[in-house]
Amino acid sequence: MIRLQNVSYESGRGRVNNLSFHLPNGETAVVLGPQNSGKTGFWQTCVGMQPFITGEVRLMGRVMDPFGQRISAESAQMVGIATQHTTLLDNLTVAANIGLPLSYHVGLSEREMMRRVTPMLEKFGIRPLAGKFPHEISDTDVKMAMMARATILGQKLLVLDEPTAGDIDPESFMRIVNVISRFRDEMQEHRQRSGDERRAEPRALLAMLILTTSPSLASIRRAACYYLVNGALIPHAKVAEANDPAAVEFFAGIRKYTDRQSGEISGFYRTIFHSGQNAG
Amino acid sequence: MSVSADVSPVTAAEGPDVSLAGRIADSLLNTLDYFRDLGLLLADFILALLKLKGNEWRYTKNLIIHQIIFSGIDAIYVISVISVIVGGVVMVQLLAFSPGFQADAMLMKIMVGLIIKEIAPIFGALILVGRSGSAITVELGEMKLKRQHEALESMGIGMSQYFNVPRIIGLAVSSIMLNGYFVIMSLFAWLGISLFQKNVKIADMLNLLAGSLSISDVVINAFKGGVLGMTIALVCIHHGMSVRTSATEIPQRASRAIVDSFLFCFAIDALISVAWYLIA
Repeated sequence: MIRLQNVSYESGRGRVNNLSFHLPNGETAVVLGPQNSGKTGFWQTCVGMQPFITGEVRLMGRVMDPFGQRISAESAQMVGIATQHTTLLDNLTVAANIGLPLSYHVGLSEREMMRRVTPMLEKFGIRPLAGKFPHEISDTDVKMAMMARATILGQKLLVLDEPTAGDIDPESFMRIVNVISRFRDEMQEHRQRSGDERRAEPRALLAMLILTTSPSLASIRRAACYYLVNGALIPHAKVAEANDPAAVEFFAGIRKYTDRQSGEISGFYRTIFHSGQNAG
Repeated sequence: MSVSADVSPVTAAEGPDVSLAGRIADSLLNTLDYFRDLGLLLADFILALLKLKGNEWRYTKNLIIHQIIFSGIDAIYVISVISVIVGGVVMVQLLAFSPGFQADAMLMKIMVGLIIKEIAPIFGALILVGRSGSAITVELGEMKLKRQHEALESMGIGMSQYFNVPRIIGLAVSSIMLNGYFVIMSLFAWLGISLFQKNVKIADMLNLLAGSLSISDVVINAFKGGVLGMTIALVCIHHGMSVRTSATEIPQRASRAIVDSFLFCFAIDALISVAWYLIA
């Protein structure tokens, strides 16, 4: 689906160097990195939006232009992107926002568009919000709507940039994780069913790329995890080999975070969980 | 012509050149940049328009219709009130000069020409700037701050096609429509007032009006309407797109857009009038 070979590009805080990455069909990749590490530039490079200086980028077998270009109407039907910022259009309802690619690219009437959007609203648990405007719904529901919009055309690649960003509660976090897990399971089932790409269903999601600052999300099961630190992409299996001071510091930070999760934080709530009625 | 381009105040502490000549040069350069940006915006609009096809054009057509309804049809009440007042005042002045009219076909021709060629386009433009131009700047500024343009681009929808093309065409058409209403309502006001004049016969009035109207007046009215409408849209879009970091920029940009639109409208109106006079 995506193949990067020795790619270098400029990101917000410097250059990302000599980066190689492969996301095969049926797989989910999570790229974890600190803020301003170049994660957004990474997915933009993968889909051909970001100019790159060296190397080669292939998306669905097609070699990408190193100068970077806007997502074309054709590409938008293959790649669905839910960007980092809450970006639903203010003047459209949730349903109209989700159906916008259908109305704009496919030319569906409002009635036909709603026929396609309604199952998506159900799938993402936002059916009652169909007629509401973005300012009337929660941040999590906005993220759900953005994910629904990014898959409404039956895109083959889904890019989620910081899907759990913002101050969201644990329940909302789990809602988002569950949606991602469902996508991952559907992709893997589809791969088992169809065997190879030539027999793939025309409107099935084939791969997912997630960019996040959240170690909790990066630890999602059956996903390949990478770390983007100080301009280098480190696969999860090769973390022990990382000797760059910035990378070492980053992994020490993750360790402190997970230690606190398993120690102080879970210890604090254990008293509630053991009290009986809140045991859930 | 002077426009309120961005001129950052230079102090002795910040920059070396605080002389009057330096400030004038700075201001001139900023004004040139401003004109270049407007030129590029116009070129971008033409390219975006040429690229629109099929389903995208159908969707854009709906947006254009919505814009015309807001700018050209919903403004009927305002333009009617203003045109009746202006038309009435002109008629009263005409009666003061020439109570009988019979001998003053030339005076009538001048007044009709003035209404159609000068007053209607300018008043139409003023209403368009106040109602729609400022709204465009605010809407676009908000979209920029909320990064909604990025969401559109990630869906393969160009901001130029989705936002600029409908606004520019919509305002051009609306401006022509507003000019038309203005002329019709002004002439109705004339006829209404003449009904109350003992020494003016309605049939004479209609004859005088018919004799005073010419095709060239109508053509120049429509031409000015189209050009002024496009100009207002371009100026207001430019200012909306200039919003970068803070919500406080939005009202600042909106007021600049209004002032600049007025200046451009008066200047272009005068230029077209002079050009027409020289050609005719």
